[in-house]
Amino acid sequence: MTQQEFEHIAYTLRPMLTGIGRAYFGSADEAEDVAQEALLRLWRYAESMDGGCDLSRLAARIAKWCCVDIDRKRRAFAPPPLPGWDAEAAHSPHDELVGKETQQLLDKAISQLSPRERELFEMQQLEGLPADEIALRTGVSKTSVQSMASRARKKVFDELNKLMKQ
Amino acid sequence: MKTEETERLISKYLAGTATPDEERRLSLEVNRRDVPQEWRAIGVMLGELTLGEALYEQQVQHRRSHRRRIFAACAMAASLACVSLAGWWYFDGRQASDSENIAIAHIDGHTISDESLVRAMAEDAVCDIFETADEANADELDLFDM
Amino acid sequence: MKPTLTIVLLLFATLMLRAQEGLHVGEVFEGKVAKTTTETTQTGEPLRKYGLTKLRTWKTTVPDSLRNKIEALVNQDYEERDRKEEEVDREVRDGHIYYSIFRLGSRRTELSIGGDTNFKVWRHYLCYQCKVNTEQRSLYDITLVFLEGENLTLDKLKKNFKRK
Repeated sequence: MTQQEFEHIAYTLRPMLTGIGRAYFGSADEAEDVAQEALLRLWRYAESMDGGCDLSRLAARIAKWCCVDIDRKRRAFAPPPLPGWDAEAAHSPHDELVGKETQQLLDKAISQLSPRERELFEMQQLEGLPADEIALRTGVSKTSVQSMASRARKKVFDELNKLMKQ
Repeated sequence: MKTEETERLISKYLAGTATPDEERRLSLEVNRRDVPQEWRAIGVMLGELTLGEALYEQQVQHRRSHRRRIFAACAMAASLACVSLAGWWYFDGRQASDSENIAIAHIDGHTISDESLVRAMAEDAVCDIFETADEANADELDLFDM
Repeated sequence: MKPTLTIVLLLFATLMLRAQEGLHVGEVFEGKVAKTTTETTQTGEPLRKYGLTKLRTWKTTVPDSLRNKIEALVNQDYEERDRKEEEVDREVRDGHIYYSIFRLGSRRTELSIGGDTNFKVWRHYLCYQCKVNTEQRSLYDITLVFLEGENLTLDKLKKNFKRK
């Protein structure tokens, strides 16, 4: 996707992204920050995608993540009241490092998949697409999508567990 | 969430049959501290965007119900006084003070009472018309200058 | 709690609708013209920063026949507007209103508190816009807005509703 194509898409996505930010923060200024941050992050994903693909779902997910991330950074972020959640520990430098290492392990596990399985896995993980939408996009039946997704996830799960134990 | 429920959702996730909402709920569970390694692996596979979405929905919901509770209490307390004031206003031609706060939207019959969303939608509608007027007036001035 | 809240809100909305009493576009706001709409109703504190006491917006996408019906209602209110201190910003294209912003009749009331009598003037404006739908050119996107504010003027409104 070229920068020009992305700029055009960004223009159409901006109202939705500010709406997501406004629903979270209730303020136009912070909503603008969310939209800006989300578009920056979206560009990193979009660079490697085709020009004609629909980025709206991915953009919405990124914007929601940005709301949570900006909120956490700006004040003492209180995660939802779940027992076992430790806000300080969850975001310590040590945990961030562990997070990065785990991501590398995930990348290694995904590299074991076939190209088709990897594509499916990333469509679900990144864009959060349900099986029927993937079926529409790829032209594969919903049952086949579910079956391939299941196979891919089980492979990644087994590989990831093996790598995490090492 | 009970352990059995989490395990059930993990099985559904690995089978590719979990709904997006179930994946978000699962993400909240498996990203807690002191969970088994297999659960952490699921958390990594679900990814930070799923967790972000789950936390976002939870915070927005929490704020909405908090605002609704306060608004409902105020609306109930104010309703009796306002009904009598409205009757007084109608018959005496006097105006009750506009201190009642209402912010409500309807989209094809669905009601939205989130004040910030309602405000944003209303502002959008009004700004749209004024921008149209500004553009039309600017075009007129350009023609005049030609 | 939810049904009670809805009843209370509807009660307030009904009170608010009094301000549109006698307006021809009242039937548009009452949902008698189009069913698939996006509407907002606000009164009170949230509107203070705009200098308003009441704000009602209404948006829909309709075919030609309903566009003409709504336009006729807007035109009727336009003909009956407050002409004493006339405030109008309007454009007609190809025989149909493109946009129209005008002041409706004012309401002046006396408010006596502790022996002092104060006069308050509430001014009302109606804003209307009709544009061809970009996806289906046989349909029209209509926006209708009713505003009430104390000592409101068109210039104040335009200043308060400038998009940042």
